[in-house]
Amino acid sequence: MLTYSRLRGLAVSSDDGQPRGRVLDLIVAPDGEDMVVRALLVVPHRFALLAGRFKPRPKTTTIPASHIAAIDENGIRLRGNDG
Amino acid sequence: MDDDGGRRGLSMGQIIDHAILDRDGHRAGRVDDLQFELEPGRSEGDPPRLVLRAIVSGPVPRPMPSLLGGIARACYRLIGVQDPRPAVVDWSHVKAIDAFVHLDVERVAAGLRRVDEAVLRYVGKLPGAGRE
Repeated sequence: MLTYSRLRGLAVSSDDGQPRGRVLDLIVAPDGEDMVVRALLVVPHRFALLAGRFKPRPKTTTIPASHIAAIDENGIRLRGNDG
Repeated sequence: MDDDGGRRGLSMGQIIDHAILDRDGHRAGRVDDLQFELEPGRSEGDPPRLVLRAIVSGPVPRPMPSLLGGIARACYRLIGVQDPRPAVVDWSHVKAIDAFVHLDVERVAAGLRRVDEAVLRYVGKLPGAGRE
């Protein structure tokens, strides 16, 4: 099982290893019987992650969850490099 | 990249720390963490799905450094919580979300009152605790 506290702050990178930022938040929506993550809200660096705790609407990039290729302890890898 | 379409939905950051109400409307703690399951795509070539599975609430809900975690668990044991682990409530029990997270289960049955009950037992032993 993955937990929100673990996912938040994970590094996001494209398929070629290019860093895309860090996960600030997750957006979920119903998909049939389940609630499924639809998007990742990503901030460009760790400090923005910290600022996100205090700013009500931090500047984020929205990445659709359909672009996720894999999740492991090193972070979230996206499909291709246009994630 | 999707600029705003993906934002339609429920922000998990807004659920964390929300107060929980059980089926009888009694307070049952706060949402301390959420559990997700990574499922493979439904068919070949489909992306994996991150499915929200459960609410986590209660003592030591998140991994802590061993020393801090040990101290926290020792404190819980001191007040009588012998097995200081958080309650995990399946997401299927969440009936509504507004200012609170509403569950369809009773708080004791869901294990959401263990710390409160331990504190009440401890306070009840103090001299004068039964007096009006």
